[in-house]
Amino acid sequence: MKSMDAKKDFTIFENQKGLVYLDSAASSLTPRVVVDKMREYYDTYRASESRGLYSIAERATAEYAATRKSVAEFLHAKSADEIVFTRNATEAINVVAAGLADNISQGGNVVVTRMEHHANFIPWQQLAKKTGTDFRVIDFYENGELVLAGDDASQESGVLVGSAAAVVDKNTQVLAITAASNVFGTTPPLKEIIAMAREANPGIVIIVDAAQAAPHRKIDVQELDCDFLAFSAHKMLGPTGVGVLWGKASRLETLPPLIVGGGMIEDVTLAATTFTDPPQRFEAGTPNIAGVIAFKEAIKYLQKVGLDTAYKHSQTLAGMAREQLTKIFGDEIQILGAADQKSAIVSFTLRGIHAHDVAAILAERNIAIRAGHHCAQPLHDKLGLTGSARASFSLYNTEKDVTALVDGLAHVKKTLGKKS
Amino acid sequence: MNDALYQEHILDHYQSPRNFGALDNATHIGAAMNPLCGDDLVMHAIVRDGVVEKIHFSGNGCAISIAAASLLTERLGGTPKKAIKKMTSEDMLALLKIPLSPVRMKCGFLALEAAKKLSLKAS
Repeated sequence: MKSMDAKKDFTIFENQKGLVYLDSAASSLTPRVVVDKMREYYDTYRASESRGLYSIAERATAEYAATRKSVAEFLHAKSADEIVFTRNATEAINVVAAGLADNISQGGNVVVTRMEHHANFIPWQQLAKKTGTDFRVIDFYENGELVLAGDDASQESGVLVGSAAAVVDKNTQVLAITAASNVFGTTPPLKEIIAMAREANPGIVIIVDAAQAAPHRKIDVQELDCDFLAFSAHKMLGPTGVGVLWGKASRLETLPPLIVGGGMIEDVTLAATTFTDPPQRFEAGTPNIAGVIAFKEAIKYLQKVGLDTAYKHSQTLAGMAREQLTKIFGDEIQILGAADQKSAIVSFTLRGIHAHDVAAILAERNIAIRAGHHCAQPLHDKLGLTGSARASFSLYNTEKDVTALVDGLAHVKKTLGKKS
Repeated sequence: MNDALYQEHILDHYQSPRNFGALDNATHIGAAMNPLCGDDLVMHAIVRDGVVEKIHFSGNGCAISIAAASLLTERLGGTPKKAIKKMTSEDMLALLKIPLSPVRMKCGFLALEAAKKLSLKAS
């Protein structure tokens, strides 16, 4: 494995000696170049963007626009006008759900998968409730793969759950699907699923949650042929408070805004308002200027390391962790998802030991993992779990981090394993 | 390695919880759960003349919540039921004798929450 010495690029490791950070799936650490770029904005050209005519305002405007262009290239989008900056991926998805509400006809259905993060589950569930349409769910197998083919579908609490082939039909108005599960790490075959959905209903709206995929793998929205896609800067070394909604120009054109106010109008009179074109239509108010400006430094950093190189590094470490944990714990550990999976996420349960205790004891050894349902309750319910522990790897992790995790879990077992 | 939370007495009560298991002839029952992590505890009590004669607990939870329930049921035997309502989180912390972070407080107080909800079982 080619040696990756990224820790030196992240100031936090100077301030937190010995930090073993294994929660990048929740939020990634931020490299110095990104923080410096934010500071540079605040210290040298602190002004509003797209509003002022003075020189520092022009610079802020140019830097902000440059990030929009950078993100468009990152996604291989047709135009920077298809890029909307939001607060996070969750808000991006909510903007679409709210905007589509008036166009969802009764008698139709909206479809999500059972392994979606709540951000790409709840907005659609609530949209279905509000519009009186059916809410349907694509199921998954125990290995974390979606059930694609077959006629199997059954009612669970008034919701039709089954294979993609069974639940997606000509009345499916929206399909919301993840590009990578934040628990299993699995990556559904999006192109195949999207093609199937468009065949069932050519007018279908397809939205992809790329929050876990964007940090690791190339995304080409034109190739994918989805209608909307959402992801967050803070999961890919960017600042917090910045998310991206990409939308096909034709889809954004007809989408009404969720948040209205300054910076997104053409004309406001006493009686009426006309909204401006995308993307500004969806960016009311003053945005996270510093965050957006600095986000392109995160993209640059990732591209300098090489997305593939970074991901291979993370995958290798995750694979080592899975292998060593299976060897040490045998059938006392249940790793969620396929045994031969390749992601950078390792979610697991230890028999007889609560995930919170696992995380708490590891925390005392300066190891940061996540415990709980990871905003995926339907997923955990299906597995019969109330929660799990999750370790996730990124380019700043090392083999030493894997060893620390494994040793730490051995200590957890010693401390809390039932004596009987 | 010094575990601040997982001290001897906590581990002891977690490994060998006192008063664990439902009471068939319980007169009162109270339940509480933490939706964030799925901890759920049920208190079963035999109350006579306003006094908790016997109190047990059942359920699932993390080590802190189980240890807290075990310690609490030990403490509450022989206590007037009215006194439970007056118990505070400080009392619970005094029982636990460990530093609870804000995130783990719900775990530490879940048993008390269930005990406070003790009400006459519908027969």
